Amino acid sequence: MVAMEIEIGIKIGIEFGREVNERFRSWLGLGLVSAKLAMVKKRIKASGVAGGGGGGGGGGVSELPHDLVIEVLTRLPAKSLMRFKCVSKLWIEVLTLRRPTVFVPGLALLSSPAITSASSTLPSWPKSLMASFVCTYESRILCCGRKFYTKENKVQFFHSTSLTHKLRHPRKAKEDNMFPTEIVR
Amino acid sequence: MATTTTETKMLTLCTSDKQQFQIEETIALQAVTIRNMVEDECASNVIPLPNVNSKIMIQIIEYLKKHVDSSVSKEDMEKFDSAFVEKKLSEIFDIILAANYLNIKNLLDICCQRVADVMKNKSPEWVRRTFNIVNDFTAEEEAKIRKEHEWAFEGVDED
Repeated sequence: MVAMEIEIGIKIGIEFGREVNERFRSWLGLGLVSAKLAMVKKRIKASGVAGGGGGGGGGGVSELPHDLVIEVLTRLPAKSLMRFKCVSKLWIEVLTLRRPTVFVPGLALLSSPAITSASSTLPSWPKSLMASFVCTYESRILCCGRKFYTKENKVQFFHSTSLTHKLRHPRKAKEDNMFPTEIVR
Repeated sequence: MATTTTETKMLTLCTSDKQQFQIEETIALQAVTIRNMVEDECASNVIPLPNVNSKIMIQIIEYLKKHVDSSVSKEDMEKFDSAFVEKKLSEIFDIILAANYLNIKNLLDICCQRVADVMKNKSPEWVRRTFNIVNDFTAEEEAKIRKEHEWAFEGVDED
């Protein structure tokens, strides 16, 4: 019985890993990795960015190009990002995975090499775990969030953002409570 | 062969509004875009920066001057940075654009972080106004998304 559960767990883990991997490559939104950022920067440079509010004035508010808006978004906590989904269609696109990440979640430890599936049935988790989660894949933190809900026997995560930048600022991330200690342990 | 080694090399930067700024090369080279220009030897005389105006350039030079100084302690540098970003958002946006164009990574980082810090607890309406975004949802669509993420609307600042 236990063995079967573990087996199913592993299968789900692999499945999800594959899905994540696929998504990781195609994810245009917040899942951007430095390669994308570099590309984006080149593009901006090539197209030339409007130089701001004009010489003497300062009256006009400059608009940030989308790529730079994303630079800002990657620095926001999960809660704000969820709230900003209703800003516009473009934003919800950026802030949402193509399909909702639905899987029976295993708790990915920050140090674990891949997403591990802990259980094949809806587990009765302690409440503290229900409050937040972190998904990692190949030692990279893919997404994290503070809340998820269950639906039709599946668990849906409110994912938020690729945390590639958070890894560069671990101190800041801690302040934002992005790495819930319950899960890290 | 009488050149003194202490002589500092100067670069002249010309902003979009045709103002010229003479600054030490070591200061200017922190901007990767300028460094590339100098390395490619296309910066013989005056470096044109058509995407940066003088008002922003003054602030960027202030930042670069501080950051080139290796005697400044890490703590003081952080203090300087946090004071530096205490500006109106519209100004920060301009600096972000310029820092991105000039490729000054740290400056881009602290400015983007500043925007994020300011907008963290704001409402979607505030974000739309600030970023000049048109709400292209229907009222029903927006209500639905809001409902799905109701928890995220707790503790939002008043506009």
